[in-house]
Amino acid sequence: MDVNRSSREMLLRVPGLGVRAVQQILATRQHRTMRLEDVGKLTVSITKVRPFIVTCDWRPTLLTDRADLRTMLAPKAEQLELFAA
Amino acid sequence: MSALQHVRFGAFHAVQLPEADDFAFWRDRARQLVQCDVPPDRVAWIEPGGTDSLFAPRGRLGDTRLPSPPSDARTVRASKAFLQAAKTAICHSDPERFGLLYRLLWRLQGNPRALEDRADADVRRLDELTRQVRRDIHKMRAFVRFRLVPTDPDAEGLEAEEHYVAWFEPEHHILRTNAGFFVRRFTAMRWSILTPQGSLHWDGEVLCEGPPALKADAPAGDPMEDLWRRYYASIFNPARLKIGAMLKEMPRKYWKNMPETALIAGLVAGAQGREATMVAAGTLDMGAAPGSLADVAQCAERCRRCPIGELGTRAVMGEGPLAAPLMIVGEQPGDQEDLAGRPFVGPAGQLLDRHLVSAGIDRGAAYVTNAVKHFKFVSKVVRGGKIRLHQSPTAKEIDTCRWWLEGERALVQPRLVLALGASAARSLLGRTASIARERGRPHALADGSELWITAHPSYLLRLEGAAQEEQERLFAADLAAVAERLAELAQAHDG
Repeated sequence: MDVNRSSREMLLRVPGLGVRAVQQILATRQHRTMRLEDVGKLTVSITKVRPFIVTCDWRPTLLTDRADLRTMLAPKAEQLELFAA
Repeated sequence: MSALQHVRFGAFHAVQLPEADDFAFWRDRARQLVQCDVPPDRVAWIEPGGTDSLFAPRGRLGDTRLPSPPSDARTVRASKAFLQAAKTAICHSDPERFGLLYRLLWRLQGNPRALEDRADADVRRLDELTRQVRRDIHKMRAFVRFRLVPTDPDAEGLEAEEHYVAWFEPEHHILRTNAGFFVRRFTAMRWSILTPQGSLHWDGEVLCEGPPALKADAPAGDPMEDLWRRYYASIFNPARLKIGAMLKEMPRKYWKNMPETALIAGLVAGAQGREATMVAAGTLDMGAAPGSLADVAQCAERCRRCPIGELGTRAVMGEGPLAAPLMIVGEQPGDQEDLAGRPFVGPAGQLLDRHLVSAGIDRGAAYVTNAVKHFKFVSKVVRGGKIRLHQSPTAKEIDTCRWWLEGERALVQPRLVLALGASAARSLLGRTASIARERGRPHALADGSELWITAHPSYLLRLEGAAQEEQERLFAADLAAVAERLAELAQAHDG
């Protein structure tokens, strides 16, 4: 998804971009062409968003086709303590 | 000759602020500088007590007289949002804040919407400063602790009034901004708040500012503090210990000036032990397992471990032969059972008897009992007469009474247990069961016997028409399956 061109609805479908981040992206791109660094300032985790967005200095060429993309991004499973004191 | 020789720098200006949080002064000077077209990198802002800028040593460039703006200078414009943020951010302790604000003001002249660029470093820094100041203001409201100054008993007038003094160390210059809150909150009190940057004094009518103070100026203790500490310790819930969340709300940097924080380490350390004690106190000590059915009957009669024990005439115990292969468990005795002292003698019992006969099960050979031993009811006046209206036992009451049912099962040792209704199923399974889903098939119990679940006969009595017929058919089918299974078990036992 091109962060500099896409509509609000399309940006909201990107995993890792919430309502707040999208709102700030829409306001910010009126003032500048957004770079990956700029998106990073507005989101919680740029690593999570990176494979799904295009900025003027970033294009995820090989990343989206990787078979282990899910394992790279999904949070690690963690066994919580069952009988915590 | 140097190439830079012909470059002309604009004059360098240094502005000395009278107070660290003086927004009006800053706004006045900043407006003047913008009108004179002085770019941000040619201004040094010096706060009181702060060192001069490295690039503007006072001796050489100490041009504290600002140029007066030309008569045709344009008006300085700033958005409302910027003014509000600037007013808050100016209280921050960062010495760069004045320069940052001036830089943003300068940029706002060229682009009135510059603050909307959320990826901009200056805008983000302004956001950060306002957030930190707001948090500090909030924490000061929560963590100021007043202490009573011992008064001279002979004093008169104002001196005789109680005077409360607090020592607080804010991170930013928020004392003056926060004064309004304390005046509104403690209007009737005579108080002073002392901080390393200054102090505030309220005498009930007038608020005065004072010079910076030392911690030693505030009283070291207060007679009420013991009570406050005891209250704090008593509201501490050891079973809800969340150290991370607690530290987030009450950061350690504020701890040194609060009397109750000395207790926290001990409370946290003892939390696990106290929780274990609470859990242990919650479990009922039922004593030794009963040795005979007469024992069960005698002890259950006296049992008052749940409120039902106080109700009814007596505990209605099970009846049947000691080595019965089948145990039938109902919910609880009803009105007639309570009076007769025998299980299943009322309308539901009669219905059960009819079905048992048609299924070919001999009630005399089965041990018939209830999950709950006492009759739970509410008294109600109907048509001039008082009736005892049946009430379903709660899960906790069923679980408490399980001890007696377990005692009976251990003594009778039935091969098959038939649970009538959800209460009996809960008592035997130890969890809430769905009759519709779990009826008509065996469930293994821990002692090796089989559990079958079906509806309670009183449920059939409540239904009408087609629904009643359907449920009666299911009930009969369940009993027939139980009879068949009993025969199989008896055969396996004998063979």
